[in-house]
Amino acid sequence: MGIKSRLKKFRTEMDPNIKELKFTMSRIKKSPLSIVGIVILLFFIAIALLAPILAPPGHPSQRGDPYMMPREGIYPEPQPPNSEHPFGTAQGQFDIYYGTIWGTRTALRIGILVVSGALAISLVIGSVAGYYGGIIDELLMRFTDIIMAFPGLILAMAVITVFGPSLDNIMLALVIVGWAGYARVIRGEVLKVKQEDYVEAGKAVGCSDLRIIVRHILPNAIYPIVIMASLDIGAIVLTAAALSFLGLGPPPGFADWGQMVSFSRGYIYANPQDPLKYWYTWIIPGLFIFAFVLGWNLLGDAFRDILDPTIRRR
Amino acid sequence: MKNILSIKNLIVRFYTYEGIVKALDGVNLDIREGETLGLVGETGCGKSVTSLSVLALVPPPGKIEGGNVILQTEDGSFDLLNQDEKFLRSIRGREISMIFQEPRAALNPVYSVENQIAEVLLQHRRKEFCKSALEQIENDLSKGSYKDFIYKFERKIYQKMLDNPNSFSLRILSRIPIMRRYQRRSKTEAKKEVIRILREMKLADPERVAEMYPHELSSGMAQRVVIAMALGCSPYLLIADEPTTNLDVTIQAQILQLIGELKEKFESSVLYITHDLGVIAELCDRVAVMYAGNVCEIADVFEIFKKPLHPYTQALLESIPRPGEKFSSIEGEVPGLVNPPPGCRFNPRCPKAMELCTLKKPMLTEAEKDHFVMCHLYSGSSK
Repeated sequence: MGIKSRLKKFRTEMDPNIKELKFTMSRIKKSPLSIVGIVILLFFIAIALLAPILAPPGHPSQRGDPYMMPREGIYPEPQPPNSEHPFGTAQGQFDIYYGTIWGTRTALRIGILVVSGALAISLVIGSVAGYYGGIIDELLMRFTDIIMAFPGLILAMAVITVFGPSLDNIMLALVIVGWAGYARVIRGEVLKVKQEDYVEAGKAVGCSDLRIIVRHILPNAIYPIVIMASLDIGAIVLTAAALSFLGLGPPPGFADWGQMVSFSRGYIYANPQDPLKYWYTWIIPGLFIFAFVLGWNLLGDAFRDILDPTIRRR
Repeated sequence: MKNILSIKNLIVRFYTYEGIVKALDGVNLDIREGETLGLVGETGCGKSVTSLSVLALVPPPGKIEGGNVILQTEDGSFDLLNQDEKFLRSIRGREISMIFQEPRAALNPVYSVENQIAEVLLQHRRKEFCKSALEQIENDLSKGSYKDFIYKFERKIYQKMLDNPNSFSLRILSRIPIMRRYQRRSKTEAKKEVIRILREMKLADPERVAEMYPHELSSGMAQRVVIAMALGCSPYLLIADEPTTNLDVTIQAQILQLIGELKEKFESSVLYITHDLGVIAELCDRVAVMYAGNVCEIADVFEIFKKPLHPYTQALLESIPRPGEKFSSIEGEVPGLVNPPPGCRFNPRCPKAMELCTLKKPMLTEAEKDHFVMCHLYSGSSK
């Protein structure tokens, strides 16, 4: 078999998938906002991947850790952008350019890991509670209520104090705080979907409970969660920033947008003559956070268009 | 003729807030091999609960409190009410399958027609697909190519699958990306079968329908797809729960004709649940009339229409609207099943009620040959 005929065979085999992909692309093309969202996120992913090239580590002040921002001395007043520091330096002479580039990695890592961790826990708990009902539902949901009854930030702080302050423990704490809301929503959706005839029909053709939940209920119950989750990836970066601001996060100087904004706390309003003298200290990391959150929000809608067949084939 | 399913003295109760709903109060029903049994009755008389009990799928808060549902298969007879869940799962969809009332709601909106039917087929007929996949692998191997090592690996997997389709190691393997591509062969086989079945449902252009999603189907097409799913494993018994209620009359006629033809072809028996006596007259061999959780009369379809014995059946037939005649209905209301009337449940509405009727529940007796009725008017002669 020559390469040409093999290619042809491959094409005919993959034909339905290619058609599906083409259709998805045409759907996405029709909603320009989701393209904007995808472009923004691709931009951030590119920055994260290319970080070592865009901002090569190796400054002596980093002590070999590429996630620490390099600093030139410890002089407190921020310095405006110059040829050496394209975005200027923050309080304590941390390089803002380096921090924003490597902070992209931190933001993506926090957002994606925390949300997927919370999703994994809540999918199991929410769907089991919703599907089986009765005493199982009661136990799991009351446990969820207990978690939700604590103010999120304070519970997260308690968790971090137990495990010790670090970025990994911030993520762990946010997962522990964050799953409860999803679990509630998933349970509600499962309760709704399990009333549908096709679930009954699935039982009538001999599907096991696991199969019913995984194949028939969750695919129909997951859309609100996917959208919620993609919105939350942005928001969680902010919460993580708040925690590191409280001194529970990574050591000062860690490349993290939230921390960079909190560095600029004293410099947002400079003086009556020139109020925006230190604009670069908060506008630049702020813009990164803004674009990141916006990108995920727009992608939330795009996800729905891509995934939900009843919306895509109107 | 042999009974393939006998329901004996089935009692189902629903434990609700208002009290215990005595939904089924000793239902007796036999379904014979190759026949179409019509089950008629008013809304809420327990038709659907009867059909769900057959699959042991009565939804909570309902409970099956007593009785037997005996299924006769080639492997022997089983009482479905004291089998474990695993056995029941192998029965559902394979020996007994069901068509639901609202066809479009019975299809999962996120899967294409092809995937949904293939799922049912793979659930129950995986071994057949394994065999044909193995043949294909042998065929590919005989050609000889650089991919031989993959084919040999696949052959090993499929042989294992043939021995025990649900073995633990295979279930793990089917979750690993790339490795799970071995399933493609059995899936393509299943999809070929899906198209064959869809063609038998007289769907125009089955290849195109197979790729459609449920909301793209018209209700007639959707009902055909649902029937295809139900008949995919050629069940002994097909339960049709008002399958044509939501269709317009021309499509109803087509679907009824289709069910009739397919029943012959797949050698299945049909339990046809409806409140439409016209459909019964057209399709069924025998009829069972239900009233308030009891089967009150079972007879041949001609017998029922010519010579109904039970006062309820008589009243029901009276209430079929006919042009030029005054419309008549049954006096009174269907009794609430929390506190049903004592004795015969029809006695408050019955024109021929006697004192005995309020005291004692009548038994289902054979008043004439092959004509069973549950009424004190006819039980005297047999005693």
